[in-house]
Order: sequence, then structure tokens, then C-alpha cells
Amino acid sequence: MAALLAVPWLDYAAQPAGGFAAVVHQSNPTHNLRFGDLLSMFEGASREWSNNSRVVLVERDAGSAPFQYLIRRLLNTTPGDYRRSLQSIEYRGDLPVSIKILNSDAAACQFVFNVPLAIAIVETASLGLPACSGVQVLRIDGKLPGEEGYRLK
Amino acid sequence: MALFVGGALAGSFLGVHGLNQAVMSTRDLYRVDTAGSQMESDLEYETQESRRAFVFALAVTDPNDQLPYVAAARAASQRVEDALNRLRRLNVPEITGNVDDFERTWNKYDQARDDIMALILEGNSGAALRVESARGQPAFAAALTSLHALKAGLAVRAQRDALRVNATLRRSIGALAAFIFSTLLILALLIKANRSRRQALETLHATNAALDMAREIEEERASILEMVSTRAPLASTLEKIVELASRRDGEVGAAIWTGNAGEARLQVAANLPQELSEALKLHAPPPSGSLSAAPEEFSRYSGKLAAAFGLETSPPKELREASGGRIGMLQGFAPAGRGVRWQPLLDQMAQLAAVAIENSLLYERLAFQAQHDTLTGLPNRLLFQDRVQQATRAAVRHGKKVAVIWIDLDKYKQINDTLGHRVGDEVLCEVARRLQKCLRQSDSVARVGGDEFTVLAQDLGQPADAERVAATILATFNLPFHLAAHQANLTASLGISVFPDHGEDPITLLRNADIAMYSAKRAGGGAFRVFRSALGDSMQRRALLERELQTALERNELHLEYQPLLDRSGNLDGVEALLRWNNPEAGQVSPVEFIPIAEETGLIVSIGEWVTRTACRNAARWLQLGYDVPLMAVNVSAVQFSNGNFTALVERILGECGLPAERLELEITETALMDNLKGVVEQIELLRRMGVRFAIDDFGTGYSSLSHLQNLPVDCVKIDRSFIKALEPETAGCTTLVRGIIALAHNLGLRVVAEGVETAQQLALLNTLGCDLNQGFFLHRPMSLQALEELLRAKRPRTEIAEDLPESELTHSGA
Repeated sequence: MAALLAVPWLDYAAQPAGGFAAVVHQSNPTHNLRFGDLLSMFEGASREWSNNSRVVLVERDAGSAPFQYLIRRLLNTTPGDYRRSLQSIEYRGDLPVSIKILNSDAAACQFVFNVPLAIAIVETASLGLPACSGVQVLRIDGKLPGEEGYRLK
Repeated sequence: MALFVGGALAGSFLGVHGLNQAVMSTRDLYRVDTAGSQMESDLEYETQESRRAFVFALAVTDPNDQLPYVAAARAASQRVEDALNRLRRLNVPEITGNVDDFERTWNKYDQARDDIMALILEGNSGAALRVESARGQPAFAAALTSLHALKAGLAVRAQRDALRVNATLRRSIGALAAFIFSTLLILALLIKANRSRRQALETLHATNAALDMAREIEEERASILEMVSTRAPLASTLEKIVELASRRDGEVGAAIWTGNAGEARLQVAANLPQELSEALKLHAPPPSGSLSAAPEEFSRYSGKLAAAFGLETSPPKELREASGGRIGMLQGFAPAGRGVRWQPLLDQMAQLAAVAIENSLLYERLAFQAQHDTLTGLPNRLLFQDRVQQATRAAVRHGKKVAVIWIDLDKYKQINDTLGHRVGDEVLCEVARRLQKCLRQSDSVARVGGDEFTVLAQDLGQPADAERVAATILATFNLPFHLAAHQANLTASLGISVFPDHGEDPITLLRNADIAMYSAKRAGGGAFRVFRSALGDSMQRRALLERELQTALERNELHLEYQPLLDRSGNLDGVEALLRWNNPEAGQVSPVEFIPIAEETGLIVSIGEWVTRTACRNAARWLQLGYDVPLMAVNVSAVQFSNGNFTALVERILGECGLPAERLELEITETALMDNLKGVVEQIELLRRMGVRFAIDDFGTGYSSLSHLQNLPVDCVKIDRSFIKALEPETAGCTTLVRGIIALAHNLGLRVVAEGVETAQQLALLNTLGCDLNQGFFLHRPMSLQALEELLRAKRPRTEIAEDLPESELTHSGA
């Protein structure tokens, strides 16, 4: 179902019933993020982990549900504006935001699995994929997906 | 054998063990070397694959393109780890260190690669290249070095395993050879065992066949012996015996001759050509058809005949009876050149044949002995009766008469007693010869008893013909008999009975001839008598009395009567007990008639005892009742004295009855006294010493002389009634004789009793002559016990009458 939702021609506003999850490398010492910090990371405002290592943002392709959810619901912007916002950061001479766009949740999970500093937002439904078995699901404001008060849904 | 099998089994075990070792080593070699080599190859490949994927990932920039390579590199790394784990599971100690080294270097490279891939994926290619140069490449090189060391270790192990396998194989080949050899050996042993088993089975079958044959022959043998025991015809038994030969061998035959030194004949032959059997029957064995020929001579005789039929003969087998005499010959016949083993067959057949023939001869002899007298060889009574039976039947058919003549030698006993039994037997044989000689061929002589012969004269026209035969027989005794050193003149008494005049069956004819003979003998012997029915009546009467007397005592047919003896004053001096017999069939039988029979049959002993006991018991009773009976006289037979224990018997009876001995007088005839004077006198003296009195009964009738009287230990003389009967005043001779007897007796201190006093004149004369006691019808007839007791009661003085004893205590003479 998640794969279907990710098909570009579907209504981008379509939203999976299970919500979304933020996943990081197993070795990442961060297990819980505040919702605002998550937004800050994807806005490019916050670009390092607590241990000062660089955050590598993993985004899904533009037509995917996680990307639409990120742009419209979390960041409340548009893809163009979002790109431009990030380019402006690099343009200002600040440490550029490292963004990797992957074309499936499995690839996203796999990427996170291989890159200790990466963070990705995937559909919670994709967490059952083999590729996602080796990543860590972050608590958002202390809540895991499915728990009451979880924000990424 | 057991050693061979043990060796074979050990070789087999070693061979199998060696092969097992070789297989284990080979498997080990495969496991370690082949599998190790495969794993090592996989390891190298995956190592390179991981490296290649890593390099590809390094070469592209899009993470979506990079990720498959990264995954491939990781997968290859995973397979490297799997290969390493498999290598560890091989559990090869020699390469454990190499594995550990490789794993360590590989993990180091793997870590470096992960870091580099992370940098690549982050898009930090420069850093990635740097890390690659600094850590990745050296770590990979080190991993490769470790890998090569591991390969070398595997190679060394493989080489060593190969050597071990080779050595094991070489050993196994040796063991295998031993195994094969052992197997072949076992096979050979099994084949040999199988052959032995087959041979044993064949032997067993042969033995079984022999046993079956033996069982069959044994059954035949039992059957033959049964035939012998059941007296089957000899020819049938011998036929079965000679058939044994052909049962053994279908081409073998046998023949048996029976006979003796006088004559021989072919009895049976089996499985011989008919013509040969006929020839053997026709030509009797030499010499002159007897069985006395030597075996060689017999063999020539039969062999010559057999050769004409293309047969050869066995050595002749003599058949001998237990006493050693030859009773037959047995010979086997077989086709010439057949090579028969004769001995066991002939032995078996000869044994059976000898038993059968001897048994048959024995039965013939027994049958002869059963019908013949062994001393004279004449037919015995049994056969004679049979011949009489046949003769009477023939006489009926031809209207003729048959005479049976009974011959008894006179005074044969004296010859036997004086000259001995041997001479007596010679007499009998001579008589037999003379009788056979004087009779016709058709007549028969038999010996039916000790000195008794019978003659059967057949085909007689009239009874007088039998008398002529008897006269002829008597004439044969006219010539003296020459017996050893003696010469004797013998006579015979003959009795004749004629069929059908004097009887219609052999028993009756013989009995009547015997009666007639007895009549002749009583007439003095040396003569013959023809049976008359009167003779038969007296003999039959005697036979009846003899038979009835046997049980007279048991049936209470005997009783006593008592006759008083009175003195000259007419006073009772005593009573004489007189025995009486009343038989339902014969009626009242006189003692004169039955006492001699009782004496001849010995019954007088038991009867005399009963008389003495009864008389004594009554006398004792009278004494108890107060009757004055001074004397109880009882007659005693000489046979009683000769019985041996008479004295003791009288003593016992007196004791039992309680009768004083002096009240008993025993009367014995002077003839009985004189027959055994010494023996009787001794016993009389014994009894007299006890007090018993003795009287000579019937004095004057015996052959003793008056002079003997003084030597006889008696107390009384009873003058025989014949003298008293003739006692008349005018018969002076008799009176003188009686007077002499009385005087003589008185001179000897003996009392005199006159028997048979029947008239007053006799009584008066006897009183005049001084006779002490009188007895006779004139005075008192013999009376019953009751009558006598009435008489005694009447004569008893009133004052002496005592209470009579109860009737139940009376001892009746007949009770």
C-alpha cells in the first residue's frame, strides 16, 4: 500500500493511515527527537547531531508520500521553495545541507543502514521491509509510531 | 575347519576395518580438502566480489545507484563470513589459526569498507578515497595475505590427507585382499561343507533306505515268527521265508529241503524257474534221497541242476535243530555271475527256517506224545477212544460189531515190587509186543493205565468173535516172560464189551469192559468175562456209594445206633456203637457194603473219628446223667491205625468229651490186627496204658490161630456171630469150639462176648459155657439214642434219677 501511495500520479495529498517514522543508523546515540528539532533538521537550520557530526538528510523523491508529507505537512512549503531555501544556505556560505534523495523507502532505509549520520522519513508501513530491519526508529517527543500523541501522522 | 573359519572371519574383519578406515580418510579428505578448497575458493571470490562492488559503489555518485553495490559488497562480505563459518565447522586444527587470522584481517577491512561506503553514500568521495588509501587498501591486502596463508594451510592438510588416504588405501588393499581371500576361503569351506552335507544326506538317505529294508525284513521276520507261534502250516511258513530272498534281490531265489537222514524232499522253492523246481523235486538229494549228504556233495547235486538254467547256487546252509540234528537244507539261487552276498541272507533265512521246522517237528512229537504211551509207543486212552468212536461209526455203516477188550495183568504189582520198575517196564513192553503180534491189522491196542491195555477188535460178525479174540490174547500169556535173569509166568484178566450190545459210545464200552475185567479178576484172573448188565449194576451201585459217601458226613447222613451188651444176669454191661448210613439215593446202606468202600477210599479215617467222638460224647453225657453204662464199644478200622496219629486222636477225643478212658472199648478185627501186627500192637499198648480197653471183633473168622491170642494186648474177645448162629445143643462141634475159645480167653484173663445171640437157647448155652457177655437181637436190637436213653432211664434206680439235661444238649448220633 505504501508503494502504491508512492506512485507519482496518485494524489500527493494522499496520506497513509499508519503515518510516518523518522529512522536513523543503529549506532546513532540519538534515540529521541523533539518534533521541532526534526523540523529544524529538515529545514536545514540544524545540520549537526549532538556529537557535532554532520546530519545527512535522506529525502524521498518528489512524488512520494513521505516527501509530500515533509513538504506540505511538516515544513508547510512547496518543493520549489524548499529547494531554494536549502540552496540559499549554501549560497550564504554556510555548511551546505547534505541531502540524499532516494526513490524508495527501502532505499532510504538501506541508506540510513549504511550511513551512521543519516536520517530519513519513511512510511511506518515500510518499517516491515527487510531493508528497514537494520535501522533505528526515533521517538518523536518521546512517542513511537502508533502511540498516542505521536506527531508524524 | 574352525581355524580356517576363524582366520577367514578375522581377515574379513581386518579387510572391512581397513576399507572403513580408507573411506573415513577419504571422506575426511573430501570434507577438509575438497570442501575446504571449495570454501577457500568461495572465500576468495566473495572477497574479490565485495571489493569489486565496493569499487563500483565508489565509481558512481547517485546514492540510488550506489546502494546496490553497497548491498552487493555487504552481501559478499556476508558470504565471506559464511564461508569462514563453514571452514570453522570443518574443525581442522591445522587451519584454525589461519581462519582466525583471515577473519581478523577481513573484519578490519570490512570495518574500513563500511566507513568508506558511508562516506561515499554521504557524497564525501574525497574523504572516501583517502580512507580507502589509508585503511581500505592495506586492510584488503592484509586480508588477502591471510587468505593465502589459509589456502596454504589447506593445501598442506590436503597433501597430508592424501598421503594418509594413500597409506590407508594401501593398507585397505592388503586388508581387502585378505578379505577377498578370506571370503574365498569361507566360500571354499562352505562349498566343502555343502558337499559334505550333501554326502551326509546321501548317506542318510542310503541309511534310511537300508533301515526301511531292515524294518520291512524285521516285519516279515515277525510275521514269520507269528506264523510259527500260531502253528501255521509248515509249507506256508517256509514259503514266506524263501520269499525273503527275492525281497532282497528280485533275481535271487531260494529253496528249502526238509527231512532227515532217512528221507529228504524239496519242501518249498521261491523265484526259481518252474522247470528247475520240478527237477529239484524229481531228483532227490544224494545219497539216495536223504539229508545226510555233506555240503559239498549237496552243492554238486543242486549246482548241476541250477547250471542247466544259467543259475549259480549259494553254499548250502544246513538247518539244524537245537539238539544239533540236521532237519533241513537251505540254498540260494541267482543268475550266474550275479555276485550275491549270500552269507547274511542265508543266515537270517536259515535261522527262521530252522525255528519253523523244529517247531513243526516239536508239535508233531507233542501231538504223538499226547496220543501215545511213551513207554510202549502204543496209543493212549485218548487216541483209543477216538479209534473206538470211528470204529463204531464204521460198524453202524457196515452192520458189524465192535469189541472193546480190557486187559489187566494179574499180580503185576508183585513183579514191580519184587523185581523193580525196570523189569516191570520190560514186562509191559513185551506184553505190548505180544498183543500187537497176535492181533489183526485192523485191530488196535492201547495202553490205558499202569498194567492195563485195551484192544479194539473191529469188523466182528457176532459177539462170540470177540471171545475168540480174547482167547487168542490169553494164549499169548502162556509163554513165559524172560525178564533179565528171571523168568515169569504171567496171566491176565480180560473183560469184553461189544458194540452195540453193551454200549454205544466209547466211554460206556470201555467202562463195561473194565467191569467185566474186574469180574474176571475177582474170579481168580487168567480168564475173560463178557460184560453182563448185572455186573454193571453192582459196579454202578458201588460207584454211586463211593460218590455219595464222599459227602455223607457233610450232609449228616450218618448216624449211630446202639446195641446193649448184657452180662449173664441180664445187667447192662455196655453198648456197642453201630454206624448207619441213610442216603436219599441209595437208601439204608449196610455197613458191610459201605465200610469196605470207606476203607478203600480212605474216608474211614474221618468217618471213624466222627463215630468215636459221637460215641464218647454220648457216653460222657450218660455218665453225667447217672446212667449206668460201664462201657462204650466202638469199632475201629485197621486203616485208622495206619493213619499214624490215631492214639493222639483218641486221647484228644476223650479229653474233649470228658469220658474216662476205661469206659471206652475199641473193637478191631483180628484180620486188621494181623495185617500190621507190630504197628497196631504198639498203638494198642499205648492206649491201654491210658486205660482204653480193646476187644478182638469177629474172632474166629480171620486167619490167625488161637496161639496168637496170648500175644495180643486185648481185654476182650468177641466171638463171631457165625459161631453163635451155629450154636445148638446138637451141634457138638461148634459148641466145643466156642467152649474152647471161652476157656482159652478166660485162661488168658480175657472177657468173652458172644455176638449175634438170637435165641433163648443160644443164650442159655452161652451162659452154661461161661460166656461173660451177650449181644444180639434176642436181647436187644440196635436202637436209636433216644430209645437207648429211655431204656437207661427205665432201668435206672429211682433214687438215682437226676434232673435230665435239656433236650437241646442231647447229642444225637445223626446230628
